[in-house]
Amino acid sequence: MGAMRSARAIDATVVLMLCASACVSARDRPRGPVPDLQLRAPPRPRDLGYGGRFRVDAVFSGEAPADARVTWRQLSGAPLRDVRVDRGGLLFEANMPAANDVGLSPPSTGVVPVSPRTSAEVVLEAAWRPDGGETVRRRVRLSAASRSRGLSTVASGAGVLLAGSGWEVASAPPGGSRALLDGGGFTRFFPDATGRWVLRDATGRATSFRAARYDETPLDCGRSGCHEAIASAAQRSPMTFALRTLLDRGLANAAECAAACHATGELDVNDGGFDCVARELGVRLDADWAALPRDLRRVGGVTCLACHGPAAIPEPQSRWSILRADVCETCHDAPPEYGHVAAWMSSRMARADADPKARSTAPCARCHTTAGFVSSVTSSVPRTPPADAGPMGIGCAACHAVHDARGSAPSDALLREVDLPAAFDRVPLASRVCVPCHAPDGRIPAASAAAVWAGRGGVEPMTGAPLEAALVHGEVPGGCVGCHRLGPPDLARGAAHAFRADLGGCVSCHGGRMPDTDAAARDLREEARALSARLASSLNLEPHEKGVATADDPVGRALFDVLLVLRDPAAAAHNAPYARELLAAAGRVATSGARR
Amino acid sequence: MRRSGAVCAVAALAWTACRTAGTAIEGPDVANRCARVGAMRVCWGPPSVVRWFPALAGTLPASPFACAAGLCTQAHPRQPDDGEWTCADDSGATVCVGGEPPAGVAASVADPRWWCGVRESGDGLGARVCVDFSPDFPDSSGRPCRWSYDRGLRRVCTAEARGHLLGDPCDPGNPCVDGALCVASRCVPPEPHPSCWLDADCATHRCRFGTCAGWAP
Repeated sequence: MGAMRSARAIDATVVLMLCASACVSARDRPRGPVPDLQLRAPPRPRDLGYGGRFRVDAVFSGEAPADARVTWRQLSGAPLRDVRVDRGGLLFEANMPAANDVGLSPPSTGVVPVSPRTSAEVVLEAAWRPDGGETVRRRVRLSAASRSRGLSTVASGAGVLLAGSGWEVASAPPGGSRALLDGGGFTRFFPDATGRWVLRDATGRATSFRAARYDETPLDCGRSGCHEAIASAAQRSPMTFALRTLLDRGLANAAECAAACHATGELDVNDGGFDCVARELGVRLDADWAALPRDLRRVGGVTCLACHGPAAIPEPQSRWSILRADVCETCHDAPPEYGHVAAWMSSRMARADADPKARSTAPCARCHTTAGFVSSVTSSVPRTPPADAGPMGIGCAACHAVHDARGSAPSDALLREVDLPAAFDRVPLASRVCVPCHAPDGRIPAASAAAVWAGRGGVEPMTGAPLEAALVHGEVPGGCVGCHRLGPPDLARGAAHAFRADLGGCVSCHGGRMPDTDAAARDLREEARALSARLASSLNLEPHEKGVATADDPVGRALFDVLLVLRDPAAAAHNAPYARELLAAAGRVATSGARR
Repeated sequence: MRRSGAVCAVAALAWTACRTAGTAIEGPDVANRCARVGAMRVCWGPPSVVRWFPALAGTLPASPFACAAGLCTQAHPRQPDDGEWTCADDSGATVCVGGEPPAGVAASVADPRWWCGVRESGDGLGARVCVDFSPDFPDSSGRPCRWSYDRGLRRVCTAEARGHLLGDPCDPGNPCVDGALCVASRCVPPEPHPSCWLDADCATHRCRFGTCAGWAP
């Protein structure tokens, strides 16, 4: 293929050479070189600061036309402020959008994560029409801040936005210029040398950074005795192949998109990422994968460094931060095209640990924090955030395992594989990760939606044997996410991460009519409440909040079954026959007068 | 004298050069046993005959050299594949050791210009050795180059006086660099069988251009 392409290129060159003289004679007499329009972007065009003033100069190569008039328009991004165009359009000045304009919610101190949405990226176009010629258009891409994962491993050359005040460089690696700029309510840190930086804020708290270029960071993570299994799993990940897949599909013309999110590094920044190396090598993204230079292939894809950052492994106290959704947001928070994070932020998952108690108590943290969940379903080292880290929600890393080392082929969505009791064998892969937190754990029937849906989890009150029923919605593809797939309507991709139930899907299987689950739910709930009152009138029946577990006797088991129904607000929709069976079993205990 | 078109075809325009140079040594052509060595194309064996021809104009460098103050620096030098390598220049050849697969990279691609082999050593320096007899140079002056790992990988070529290189003219009074052979008045490497990085890797205690001196199959 490569040889064929080369042969064609040579043929084309020869043809062009042969026709050159004929072409010249056929042309009009030359009128002198036509000046070309170019745009001179400001220094650090990706880190102009929120509200920062900038200018772009339109310049002509060669002799500028005397009456040249350049017109400008903003093609994308939040509106620029205080725009001034002068000198016939040769000068464009404006203020970047403010942080509020793009919905940036920074932490109180420390590294500010920045996504495509919050980077305030704008694209400007300058147009000039020469006499009798076609309009020449040139574009420039600017942003207030480079994208940031919020980690302490940072790319040298890219700006790092810091919240808080009084930042100063406590120590810098050799060659570091100690450049800090204040503006827009933040401090911008430019680690211009490779190595370890230590910065302190006004409170004296030190933050350590590791800075390096992407292309200078070894990719030997998979060495025997290091992360061998993880590296092996990453080798099968679609993230690794993100760019190669694009090239194989002939989509390299989407070069900017490819370099931004199908490869490693930031656009227009000298960070050693894909775009940077491509510029250094003068390579355009129109080649086969194998034809790319080695140093481009090594940053071509969502590589280890794309998420973990370049440079060395972070210091132990910083390693929890890889679980933040901010890491994924550097690509998946670009609405309306990539709306995964925007949808997730509208869900209760994003607010699961808003209550500090949910973060600080181990049983709660298991299902209310990303770190707690990951450590409960894997053997990995716990990555518990510090107490002042603030809420993170049940983030991407809870359900998605980008380099799960369990050995099987990764799903397209890179869903985490979890071990479940045999009773849940029929739960499809796409929803298995929901079960550990949406089915009862031991004697505490907290969340129970997945258990009721699966027709599993209840017990025969008299014997303690499993009480099971048919999985009535087992034919719905994908299980939980087969119905919980709705989100904001204006998102092209990822809207399902709002996890709202799509009741419209019920109609096709229910005779063309929407089942009246409201009425069924009301009936179930009333019955369950009545039963719980009869079974345990002397007990406080809020075990989830107060830690009261049901006892292992007929009454306790009956209470457990009742709570399964009460803990699933949508029990009537998930599996109404099973919910009724649970209540019927509990009712038999209530009427039989069985005692503990 | 037998000059098969096969060898010259490999070197494209070398056919003309073969005819006019008149310096080739007699011997049968051997598929896959030829390499570009500096400005020459060298074919080895069998069993021990070396042939060389003027090669085509040099290929484009893997990345441009930036020259200032007598130093020319190449930011993205060639390496055998996408993996992790430690490399050194040696009399006009580049020898690399390593080969750890790159983590998180979609399918490593090997560069066919490198001759590679397995290195039997447990010292952790690397399990493979590769050699390129025609690394990039900023110009034709033969200035010496070294690999720098101080602040990112670089290949730095200096303006120092050049030493003996592969491809240099040779005669009894003007011997080749250690380990090279003088064949038809040119210094050429012995047939490569890359297996060593250090002298200690060889039973003969002599590692030259990645191959143990006195190597025998």
